[in-house]
Amino acid sequence: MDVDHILATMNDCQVEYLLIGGMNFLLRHEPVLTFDVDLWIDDHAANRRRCERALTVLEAEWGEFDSDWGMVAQREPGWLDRQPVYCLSSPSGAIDIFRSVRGLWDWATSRAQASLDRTASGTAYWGLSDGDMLQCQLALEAPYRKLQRIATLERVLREQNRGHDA
Amino acid sequence: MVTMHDWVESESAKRLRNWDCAARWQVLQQTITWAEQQATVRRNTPAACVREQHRKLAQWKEWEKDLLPTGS
Repeated sequence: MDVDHILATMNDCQVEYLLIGGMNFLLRHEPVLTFDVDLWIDDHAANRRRCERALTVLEAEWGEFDSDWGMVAQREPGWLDRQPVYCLSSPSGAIDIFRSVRGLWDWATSRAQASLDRTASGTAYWGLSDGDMLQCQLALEAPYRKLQRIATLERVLREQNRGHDA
Repeated sequence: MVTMHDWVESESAKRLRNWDCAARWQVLQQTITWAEQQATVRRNTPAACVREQHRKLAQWKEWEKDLLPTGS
């Protein structure tokens, strides 16, 4: 998987995105087993078109049904408009595109709290803040929550708060 | 009503059905290699090895303590 290539392509195509999920947690905190890149995009038409272009560059594949699974390059613009989440495959790895995220209401607010970071090889990415990552976990039903992740995020946020108070 | 969780489940399952096994395996291996290079994950460095050894030794000491008969 070439996560750097996925993030760099999103950057090059000027997609307004936030890296969320396990990969964001892995980059910012500690190792977790994760095999897809979860991206929450700002859900407006122009950004969806940019995201479609980025996914075409990444040679991503998707289908509304098994029967029409194939390269997204073959699709008419607007295919990202039809459902809230898309799970795509690509030679660079699995990519999940979220148009909305449970527990978070406003992309712009989350973007204002997000941080601009870099992967080990220097690719810049916007990652969801620790507070918002925690919100996402707490919004899930209990069986789906990742307890270790919640514990780490709560500890980090406590430490940050202590730092601010000192 | 279809929930977000239902959407993610059905989309993931569809991707799995349509992704060639060999290509998927290659991607998984590459993911592990990529993750290993990230600052939070790096294990194959002297500092990381010492840290991990320290953690495991501490665990082992706890475990050994539990094995000792009470009152000894």
